[in-house]
Amino acid sequence: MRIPYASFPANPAEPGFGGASITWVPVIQVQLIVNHAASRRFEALADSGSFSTLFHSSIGTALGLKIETGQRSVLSGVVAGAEGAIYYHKVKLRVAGSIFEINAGFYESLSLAGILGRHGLFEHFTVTFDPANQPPGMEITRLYRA
Amino acid sequence: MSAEQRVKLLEEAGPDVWIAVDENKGQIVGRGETYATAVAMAEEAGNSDPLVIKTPPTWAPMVL
Repeated sequence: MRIPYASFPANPAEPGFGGASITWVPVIQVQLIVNHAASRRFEALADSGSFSTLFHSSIGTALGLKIETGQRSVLSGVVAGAEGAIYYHKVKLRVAGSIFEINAGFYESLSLAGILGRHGLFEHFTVTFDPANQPPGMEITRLYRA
Repeated sequence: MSAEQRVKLLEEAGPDVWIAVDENKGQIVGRGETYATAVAMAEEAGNSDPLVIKTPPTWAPMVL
């Protein structure tokens, strides 16, 4: 399945954008399922640099999760800064028509609704990023292991 | 919804906000400080299948 990247605003004054006013981001529409409660479709970033799959606590709370009853861990990134507490819960994730259980972290200050990492997305799909096409996109194929 | 329409929509929504979008109409049908608020507003507007987006805190490059 080919999933086109989504466009986001870019501040052309930001040197990192090189004058562009639009930036393309590899996001996938997913749904989170907690017990029998399913979220609405929301956009989550496909990020092979992230070990875990993380969601904003706001979504988990809305689905009935008691976030702080999960297994506590600490989140840190490549940029130095404050570390945040994340709480892991077993949930189900719906991606491209497939539903599977994952251990997902919930963080109350996540910048986006979700980040799909190596555990959660990339262990279940081969993902080929294709930023050169117009529009850029990614090809994802479900993996089924024996 | 074209890439340009989507960017305009997100710029209008502003940074660091939850929005529920009717993709067919290219309109924001719910918004708020939480996922639940945006979804509830969409449902009140009669849309039970919106696409939910959380905009980032700034329109600057992000390293995660």
